[in-house]
Amino acid sequence: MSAFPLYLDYAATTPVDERVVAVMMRYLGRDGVFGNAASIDHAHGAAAAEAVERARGQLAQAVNAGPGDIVWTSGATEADNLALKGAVGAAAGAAHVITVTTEHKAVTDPCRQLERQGARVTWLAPAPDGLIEPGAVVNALREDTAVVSVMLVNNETGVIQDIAAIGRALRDHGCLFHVDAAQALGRLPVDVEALNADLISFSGHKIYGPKGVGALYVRRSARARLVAQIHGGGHEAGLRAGTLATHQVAGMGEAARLARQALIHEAGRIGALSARFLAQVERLPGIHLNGHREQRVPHILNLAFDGVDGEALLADLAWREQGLAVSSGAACSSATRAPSHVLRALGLNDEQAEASVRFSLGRFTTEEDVDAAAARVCDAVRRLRRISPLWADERAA
Amino acid sequence: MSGVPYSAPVWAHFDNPRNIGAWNSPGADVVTGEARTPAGPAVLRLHCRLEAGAVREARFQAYGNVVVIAVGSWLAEWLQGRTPAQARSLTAETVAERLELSAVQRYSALMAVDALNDALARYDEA
Repeated sequence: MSAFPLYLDYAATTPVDERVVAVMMRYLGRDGVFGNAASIDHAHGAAAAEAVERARGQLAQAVNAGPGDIVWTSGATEADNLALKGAVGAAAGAAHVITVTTEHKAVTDPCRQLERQGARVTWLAPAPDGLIEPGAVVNALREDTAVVSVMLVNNETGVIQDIAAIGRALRDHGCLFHVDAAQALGRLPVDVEALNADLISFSGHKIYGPKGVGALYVRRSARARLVAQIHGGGHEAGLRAGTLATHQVAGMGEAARLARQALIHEAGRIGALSARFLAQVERLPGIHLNGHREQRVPHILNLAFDGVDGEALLADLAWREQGLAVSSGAACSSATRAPSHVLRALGLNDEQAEASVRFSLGRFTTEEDVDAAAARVCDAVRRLRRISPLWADERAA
Repeated sequence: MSGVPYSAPVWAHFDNPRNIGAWNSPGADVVTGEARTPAGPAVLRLHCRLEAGAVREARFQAYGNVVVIAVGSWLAEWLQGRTPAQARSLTAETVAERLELSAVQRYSALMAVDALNDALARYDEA
């Protein structure tokens, strides 16, 4: 057994696949392709540029885009910032933004910043199952709406929004449509044409690639309606300055290629593991799956446990014998220890939101892992319920 | 396991809480007190069975984070054999000190004292 607890937090981050590590190593040392991809006047730089373009092609192919539509960034957070601030910055005069209360902080925080700078933001609330009606998005449109931002897969609940339908409904309205697909890539087919989106954010470290790299897909027709947020050399066709981290970019390209290759097999395998885990945990009474039961990726299970405090449950799972690495929702909310804004938006009260735990499965999760994890979770919940006065009262009622 | 982000006494009580639960059909010799937090949904419930002017046995129930549970376990253990007068002398400072609580965890020590005083008030009524 490894020194670390069993890892079921793949939605927070994934380990870098060994095949990706092997590719990345080629771009680091003195004997490798360490050149600056912008220094194409010599062989070192030209080789680095070639590696960057190969990776761009790999990511583009994985999402059915043209290589010229991919802008490398430092991660999905930067891609989200570029999409939102870039679209509002390009709009003449006052701009309006539409987004959803359950978005990742990488979208909600830039939106709040834009509000402070004078933009108007409409915050749409999803139904208790986490879904947004395309009609609600259209109804919120205004003449000055510059950008609409809706995520494809929710990072806390795994709920899949019907992005294609929202994109279709927005098509003739002239605003840009941004989609944060950080949790979607490698988990379900992502096709930029089918999604009807103009701007799509991707992350390297959610797909068994390295941290510190991501990308924004920018539809050709949207290019002129986006202004750069980082200046200093005009890299990435003027949309994102800065010397590219060749090894990171090459790693993300390879990770995207592997993700596309493994998608069907992996989705089926993890779907079965997830169902197996859920069936075992749901033998306990008072367990609730947060978010839509069917319209979700199987990798993420967000469960609420009646009568048990989430922090105590997490501590039990993390630090007692046979530990599990799981999360109370978004890693970013865990840092602030506030009840999840996503779960609150689904109508859960503080108590229910605090009693929720996110389990996320991935490429290296085995059947043995989920069986051990389910048994461990059931033990911890039973143990804490024996102590809980709320559970005792509920049983007595 | 290394890296546990709690003090040793807190973790020891959370890992292996003592005196948990309530009596199924408590007699007149059992008094119960409860404390809640205004900010969060935490609940600490304390049950004391008194005999010959002293706590013969104490049990606790807690809903809340690790520290709330640890404080409940510590309190129920500490109470065994104490007289109501001795119990009344317990302060939040003592609880915080014994469990090595940080400043932000101190509200749990107040919960312990509140639950205890609530139980003792019922003993006085009886």
